[in-house]
Amino acid sequence: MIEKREPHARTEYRTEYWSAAPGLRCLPLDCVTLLAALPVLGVALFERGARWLVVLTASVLVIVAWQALFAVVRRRPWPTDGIVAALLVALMLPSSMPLWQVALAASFGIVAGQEIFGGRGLGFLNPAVVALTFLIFSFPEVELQRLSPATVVAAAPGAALLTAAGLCSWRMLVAAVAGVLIAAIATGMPAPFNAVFAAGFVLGLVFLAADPAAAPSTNPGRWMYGLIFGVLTVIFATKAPGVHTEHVVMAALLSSVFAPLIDVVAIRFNVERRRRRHG
Amino acid sequence: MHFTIKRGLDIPLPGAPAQMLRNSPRIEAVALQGSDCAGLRPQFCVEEGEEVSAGQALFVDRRRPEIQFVAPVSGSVIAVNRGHRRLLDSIVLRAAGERFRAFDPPGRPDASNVRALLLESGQWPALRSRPFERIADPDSVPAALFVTAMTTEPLGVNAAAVLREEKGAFAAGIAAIRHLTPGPLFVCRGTDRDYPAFETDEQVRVVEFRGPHPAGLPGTHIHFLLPAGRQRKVWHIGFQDVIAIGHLMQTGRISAERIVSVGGPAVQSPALVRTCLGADLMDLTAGILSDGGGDVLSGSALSGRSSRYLGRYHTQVTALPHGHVRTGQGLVARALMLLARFQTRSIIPISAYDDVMPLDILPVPLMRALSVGDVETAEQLGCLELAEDDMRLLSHVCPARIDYAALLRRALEQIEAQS
Repeated sequence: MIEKREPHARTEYRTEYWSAAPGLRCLPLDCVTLLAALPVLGVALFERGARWLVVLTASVLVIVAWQALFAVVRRRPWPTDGIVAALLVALMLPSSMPLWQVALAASFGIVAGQEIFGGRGLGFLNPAVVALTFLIFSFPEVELQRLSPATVVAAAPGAALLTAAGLCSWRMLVAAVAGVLIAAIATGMPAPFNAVFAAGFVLGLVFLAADPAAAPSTNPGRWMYGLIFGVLTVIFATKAPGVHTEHVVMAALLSSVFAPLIDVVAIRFNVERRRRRHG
Repeated sequence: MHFTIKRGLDIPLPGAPAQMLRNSPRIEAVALQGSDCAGLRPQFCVEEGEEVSAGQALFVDRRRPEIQFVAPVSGSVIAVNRGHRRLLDSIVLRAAGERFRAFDPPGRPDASNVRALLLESGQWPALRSRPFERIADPDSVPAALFVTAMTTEPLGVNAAAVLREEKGAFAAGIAAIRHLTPGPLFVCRGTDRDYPAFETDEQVRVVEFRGPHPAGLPGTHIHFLLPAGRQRKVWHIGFQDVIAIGHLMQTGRISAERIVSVGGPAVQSPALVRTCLGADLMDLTAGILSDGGGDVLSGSALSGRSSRYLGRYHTQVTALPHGHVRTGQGLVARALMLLARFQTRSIIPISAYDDVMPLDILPVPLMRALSVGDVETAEQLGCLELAEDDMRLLSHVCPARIDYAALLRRALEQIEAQS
């Protein structure tokens, strides 16, 4: 038996009774993200064929195994959030990817990106982003999946669901789009709107950068974070013929690294304003 | 003055009270409960079996003996239940007769005689102070006094309807309690057109608040009008307590009458009910629960507690079907409850938290500071302005269902002990 530790008292499910969205609030956050990602995953499977299913399975198995190991060692209940991270890693990988590379990247992502901090919500990185960055750095010959415009269409309902559930902040989405446009115009990129609708950018924004565990936790911070993410994406893409998955992943990683700092600044401003108000 | 609050959440629950006033069924038992005066060490003035009249002291605060807690009705003491570490659990009376202790309301109220009357008649505990949300200190003078004349809790009382009934007593109450502070007295009310007209002047000001819950909480009013902190103490009081003080000023007798809303999915005909402080909720809801009964809460579904008796500061009673969600929706609910076991257990900073926090307070950093017990940061982030009820919506939207109200109280106790 795994001992369950309950660090804080919990409130009862009282106010959910017959409320407007009866289930949504009881639904685990990972399930919401999974629901949002399903259409995109479906399109990806259709486009990339059965071999991609092998990549996906490998990614899921490796991450689930690592989480199980950490759960046993820490005597905690076994978390299920890794499955979503594994699916998102697979989404960005082509079906020709060697399985040992997939396993290595997934291991690094879940361990260094999440489990060493104690689990989801305790670190400041998205494990999928860490896994993909690991691939980009370690295997320069590897090219991440070029996402098709069809996936952008499939991502729309997911984005709406994530925003409605509060998992993806609309402030961040708006700021990211603004960031891309500003940077694209400033760098003289031809057709800045193409960058906004690039499949890599849309999916990276909705599923990687907007992950609440990797983004700032304050509203002013979310504006700043979105802007930084958009600008960085364009900066990384200036030498390439367009915005690709690699640029978005690197931008997501860097802006996540800045997220705690952005929060600290936002908190400082708030504390200072409150101090002045109180005299 | 007028404030419109945009962030917040009105939780839709079936069983809203109809705007008709009923008299409650006969209340056999009333109780004063220790959970309404947390941390108070009582010194009892009565024993089990003793006959008491309404307004007679039952116990006093050992540290501040001038603060009395009096019998709301006349009758006999049937139980004095001591809780953990000899703190008060509850003191239960059986209501009988109409004996009142007579008080002498001052003809010309001033700062000292109003204070003395409120203390002696046991009306003082109605006043609570921020920071720390404790019963007001009789030796201190608040920077302002807030009268909460509205509620935005789910299925709450319509304050305008009650005030229309008790217009005169409310005005008399305000005329008395305005002497408690040299600063402003804010009457915070909703935007309902039914509010009776009300005389205002330099000191007594009416402020309207519009918007979803928590627009009606004293914490929200205090934050926008005159934030509390280490340097500034403010007091607040509920409008029904002001009405009771008005009755005391007019008649020389305490009034334990309270109009509460009785609602919720398990109530057959939800309505406003005229009852008394500390009423036995079994008596109050007798015969009006739907088949199979329900869990009866003192307070709202959001902030109430399971209790046999009406809480001192509660103006509503909510009855939910047994087991709430779990059995409320059959198979789907059971599947959801099973899924909920896989819910996250840590604070994931989703934007839903910010969407229910209208105050200039950053919810996630505060919640994180509270959950790791970092009281210094919590204080910088504004926890001294808050009380339990200000945290309820955060717990409601929290996927991990962490009880931030309990965490806040723990932090406040720690800060209080240090200072």
